Amino acid sequence: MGDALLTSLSALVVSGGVFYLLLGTIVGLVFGIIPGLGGPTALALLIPLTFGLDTTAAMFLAGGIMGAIPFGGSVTAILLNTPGTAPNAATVFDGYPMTLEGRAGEALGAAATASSIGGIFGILILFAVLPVAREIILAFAPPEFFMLAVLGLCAIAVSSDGKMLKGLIAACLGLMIAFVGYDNVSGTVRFAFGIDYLWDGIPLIPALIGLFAIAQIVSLYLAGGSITENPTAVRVNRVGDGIRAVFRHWPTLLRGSGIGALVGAVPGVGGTVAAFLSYSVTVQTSKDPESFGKGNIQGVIAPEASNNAREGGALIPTLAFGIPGSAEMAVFLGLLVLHGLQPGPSLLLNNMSVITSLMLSIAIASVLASVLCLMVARRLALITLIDVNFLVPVILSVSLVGAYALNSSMYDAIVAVIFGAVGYLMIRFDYPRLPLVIAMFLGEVLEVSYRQSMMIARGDWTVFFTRPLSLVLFLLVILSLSVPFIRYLLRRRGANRESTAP
Amino acid sequence: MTASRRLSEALPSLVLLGVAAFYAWVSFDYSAQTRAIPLGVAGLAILLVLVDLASQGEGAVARRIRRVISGSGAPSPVPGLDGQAGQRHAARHELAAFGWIAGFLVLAIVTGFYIAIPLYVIAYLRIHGGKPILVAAATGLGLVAVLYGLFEILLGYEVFGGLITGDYL
Repeated sequence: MGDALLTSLSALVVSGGVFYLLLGTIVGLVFGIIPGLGGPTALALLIPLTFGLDTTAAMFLAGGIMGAIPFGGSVTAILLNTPGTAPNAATVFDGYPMTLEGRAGEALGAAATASSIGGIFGILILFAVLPVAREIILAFAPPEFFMLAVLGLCAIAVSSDGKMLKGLIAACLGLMIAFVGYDNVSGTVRFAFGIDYLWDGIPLIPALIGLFAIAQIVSLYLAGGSITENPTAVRVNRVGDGIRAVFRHWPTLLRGSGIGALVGAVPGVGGTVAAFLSYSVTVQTSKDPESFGKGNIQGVIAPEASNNAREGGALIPTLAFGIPGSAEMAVFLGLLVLHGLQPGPSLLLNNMSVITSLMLSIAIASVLASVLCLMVARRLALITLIDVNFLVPVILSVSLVGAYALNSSMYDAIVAVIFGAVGYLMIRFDYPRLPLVIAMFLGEVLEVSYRQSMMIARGDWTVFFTRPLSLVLFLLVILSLSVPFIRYLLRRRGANRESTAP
Repeated sequence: MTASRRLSEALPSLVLLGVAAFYAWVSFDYSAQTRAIPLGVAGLAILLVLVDLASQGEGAVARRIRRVISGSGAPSPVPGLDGQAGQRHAARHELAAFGWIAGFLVLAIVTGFYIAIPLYVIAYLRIHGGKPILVAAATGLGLVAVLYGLFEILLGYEVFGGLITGDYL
């Protein structure tokens, strides 16, 4: 891993990686600041642009975006009471009251420092875990990969709070889409209905551009207006006080970073849960819980540290097992696939420098984004004044040209629009998009590993339950599917206890 | 709840049921090994959609299913954008949004991106956004210039010229 890190450092310094990293960081900041856009949209639009770049440069660009997005969203959360991305909502509770008290600079300083350290913490965790993950993966055979894919899908579907059924239905729909085209084992073309274009299956990247960027365009079109109408005249000063406060409250910083990295590693749980969990634990463990929500700086440090640390955590299942932990990671997998990389054992064994480039760029972007933001925070917040009417045609044009450019095929642009409609309808009818996207990625792994397992075991399906590791994964599948029922039983017990209390 | 309201709320599930049933039916065209997983997934989808439909009612069974699945017997909130209850938009506005997107796509297919983008941006900003024509034109032409620079000059892509120039889809 040391050699790979040196290769990445050399690519960063000598081969122009700094340019891509800086570009990615700026793009990430802008997409983080504009509410509703966020990481998946930024990465989906970026993928076609990386086609002409070498893989390392593409990693610097993507890492820059992934490292900068979390902090970009906190600028508007603190200054304008408008979180740029969902996880930044927890920062609003104490960040905006600090702005109202004239302590915006302090809040931004604390958020920037906590984000930077959180980002680096998450990457260090990833750095420590990857060698272990590599050994674990080598113990996996087709039955384990099959069970792991099932577990990934179930965990993500179940984590869609209160929408387990719709999450599972979305996952089935994603699998059904994934099975279109050549069957890799028998060579039969399935579900193509005589359309030659579908022989290779439904292209992933145009579908991702549709599901995230185009679906978002429709939402923006319907929302209209601008993100905020009246930004208060904010003065950004006393930044140093905020930076110092982070080091003074180091247990909050460490706890937030730890929660972020841990929760980020659980597929589907995501940054919002991590940020709110980190915030609520900080409130619960505080000696002065009443001060939260009124401008307590620890209420900014905890969610911001957690928000950036989860990027490193989320990369563990994404890189090691090919199971993306979030929508952003799902789109990132699309980027890897476009560059001919298959997440999992081969990536960890043969392309370590790609991973170290990504880790390096996320860590540096976390710091760079914070520094850049502190320099121009006030001006960056004005981005939210842009009339949405300008965003819609710009994003649509970039999306469709990008979808076309991948294979020089207008059919890809048509697919992007169709998936844009699918994505919007899923938002409209409350079906989570994440299980669909992840199922589209895992469909092939799931089917091929199932059929390989059956061939190895000569048709004996008990192979999934007789191998210890596979059995453990199966039990985890059952456990994940039981979560809502367990939650129901716990709530009922709690309610019974309350009703019988004197 | 009226029958028509109940039907409109069940419509997405019914459409999904139709899609899954059609998928399962088509998969019977393939050999047993080739269809095993797709058929299994389609069957599972049908089962899940049926449970979802059963959970949408107001009876004891529906409430019990909701309790087990979501941990609460309360009916699901009216879905809206990004899961925010009650923020639905009028269907004509939604259709208009897709109309603009489809219109741009058709224009791009016929005339190519470099003609379609300024035409679409100007029309959109003028008609939908109510912006002055000069602002709309500057935005449209500026966007084309940026995309040309990015794709053709920097990345070396040849962007679609449209059916009128003889390009293939």
